[in-house]
Amino acid sequence: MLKRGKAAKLLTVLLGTTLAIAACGKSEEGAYAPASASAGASATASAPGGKSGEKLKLTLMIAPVDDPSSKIEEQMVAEHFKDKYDITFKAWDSNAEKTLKTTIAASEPIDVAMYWPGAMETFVDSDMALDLTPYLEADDGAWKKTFVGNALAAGTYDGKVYAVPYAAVYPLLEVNKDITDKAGVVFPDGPLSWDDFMKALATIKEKTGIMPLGLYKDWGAWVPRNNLITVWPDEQTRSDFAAGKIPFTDPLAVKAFDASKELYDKFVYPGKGALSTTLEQVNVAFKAGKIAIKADVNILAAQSVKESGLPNVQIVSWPIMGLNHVLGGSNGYMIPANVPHPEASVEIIKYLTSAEVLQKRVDAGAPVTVSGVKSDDPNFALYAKDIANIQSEEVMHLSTKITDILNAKMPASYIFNGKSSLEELEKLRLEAIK
Amino acid sequence: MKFGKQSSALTLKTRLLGTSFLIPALLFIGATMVVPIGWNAVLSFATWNGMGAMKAAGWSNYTAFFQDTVTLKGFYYSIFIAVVSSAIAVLSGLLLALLIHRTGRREGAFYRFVFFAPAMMPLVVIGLLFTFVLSPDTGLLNHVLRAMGLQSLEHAWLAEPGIVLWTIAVIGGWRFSGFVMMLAYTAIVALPGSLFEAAKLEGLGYVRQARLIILPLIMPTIRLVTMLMLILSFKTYDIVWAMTRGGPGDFSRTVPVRMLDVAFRYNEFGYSAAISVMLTIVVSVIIALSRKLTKGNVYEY
Repeated sequence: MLKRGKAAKLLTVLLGTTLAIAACGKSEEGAYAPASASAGASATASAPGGKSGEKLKLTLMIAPVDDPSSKIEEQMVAEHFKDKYDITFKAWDSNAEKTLKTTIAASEPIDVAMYWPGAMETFVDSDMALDLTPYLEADDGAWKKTFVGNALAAGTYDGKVYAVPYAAVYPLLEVNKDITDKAGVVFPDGPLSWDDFMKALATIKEKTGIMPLGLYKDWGAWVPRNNLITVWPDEQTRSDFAAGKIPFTDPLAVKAFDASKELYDKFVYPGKGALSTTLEQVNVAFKAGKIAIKADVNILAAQSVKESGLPNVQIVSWPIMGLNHVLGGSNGYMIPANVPHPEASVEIIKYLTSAEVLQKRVDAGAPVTVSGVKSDDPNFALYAKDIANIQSEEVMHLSTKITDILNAKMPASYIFNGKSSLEELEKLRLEAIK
Repeated sequence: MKFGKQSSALTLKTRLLGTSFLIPALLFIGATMVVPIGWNAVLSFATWNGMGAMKAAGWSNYTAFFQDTVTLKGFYYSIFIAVVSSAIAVLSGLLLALLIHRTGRREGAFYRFVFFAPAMMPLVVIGLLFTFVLSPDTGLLNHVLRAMGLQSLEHAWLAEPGIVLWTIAVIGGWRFSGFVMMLAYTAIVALPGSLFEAAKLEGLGYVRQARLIILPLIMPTIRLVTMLMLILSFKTYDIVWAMTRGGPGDFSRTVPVRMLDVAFRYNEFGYSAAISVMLTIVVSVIIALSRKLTKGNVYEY
């Protein structure tokens, strides 16, 4: 008979063996070496253990679910590389960051992912993103030269480029002129001041009886973020606030939050519950004339106006509290630091940021960040009119936690908790600037 | 004597053989349960960003836990949702089982299928479905309330801090009520018919039969499903994520949602592990308490 002590010893040995096996597996899998940055190397030759002539398997996560152009891009990439790579596409959704980090930690990274160049701290700080600078600089900077202006600046951290942009993105307002005409409200083609904006909303509400502004719940944070960029009296103060030198409890910062709360309290559709409105609900309300103004992103505006079926839509700049800026940056692509075939990933991104692919976006009315594209749409310039005013320097970039609060929890936290919600931000600011 | 030795050797051999048959299962459970749980406990005493080397952190993650108001509130939200949704699931499941027990065979099968259907649906689908149903302006619920002239009861069900937890808890409870119903119904039909015949002869109505016979006799099943509901409700992540993503603000940021934020958004895997250890402790305490509260006689029949 197996005695209790022996059974316990046997179980201990088995458990120890299991732990050892798991630990060995982990150490091998976890042996992470930064990917080589030898630009221009052949991708097909780098398949470790792969049979000669076998196509490399790549996984791309490049298509946000609400971006119709990205689906076309997936098809173009699949077609372009069909003889070279065996590509699997993964949907890009609100869990993208978690998906990316989980796969990176498991040493099975996504080979190319869409991400915002201006929000790469979370990857850069943990060495999770591949430095693309050597690839951009290769061949006398051939790839780098395809990007317009200082488009690469948003994805540059400590002089290294970790994400390349494909579209300059900023918010704007689509105004149903039939409703605003009825209310006797005229929006300017140039900058729109916050006070004029609030007066216009009040007039629309009073004259037509509708909640004037439709704002998708995930974009609600744009209101306080843009106010925090534009509320300052001059560029130096704005820059100081973005650098964490001015507290969140400063009267002007509080004014920016108060203004956001007032907007939500009075004018955002459907009133109570505005913080949970889906994009679909906003679209339906805009189409049905239940709202006069829809907040949108410039790269989706052309499609949105077309789908609304409204004959008379005016594109209006996002309201400002003082300085003429608009929050924004760019959508772009990044490569996890531990991808097995960095050259293949770079090759895919080069194609995705080529004029050949991005012309399709331009055809859909979305401005892009590369040269060599043309648009026949007479309204195309409207969707790019505020690109020069984009201000990507924001206080939320001080730390991931501040980003999370300002981008995911505001303005709800301020609306329900008032100034006490700024205490947490203030604590995080002090931690970040230590 | 010889025979005795042979018997002992055979017993040992048989037991070793039996143990060896268990090894694959043991390895599987060890690799998928014991190792991750142990690893999580180790990780809770370290700082790790998911890529670089781990550093020992002593008790600092636990110290941070007691100063982190968002996480502490998350525990309150998780406990609230778990207790309310478990209570709703168990009470409504029992009521459904008792009602279905009174129906005929065919209608009973139909009702069981209908009420069990939500338990077969993925939580994410339920979450999305209710996002539409609960929409403040165009949602079905507010439309119905408006049609009934009950405008004062209209709410932004997923955007009001005082309401959102109740909404999630009720939907979670509704989702599991069919599951409880099925288990309770199975326990009820296993009761001997002679008990009900005797009760009828004594002039007992169905309500008294349920109170005096059915519920006491199926108490072990009720205890079991209560434990199951509590455990399942505490772990709920997907329905919260699909419906509110922890919002508005942090007003429905339950512990699982918070843990994932801390790990995958802030890259603080050690602290996230410490939160999960604390969650395990709290869940264990609550389950032990509820076992004690529902403890009673077990009747044989």
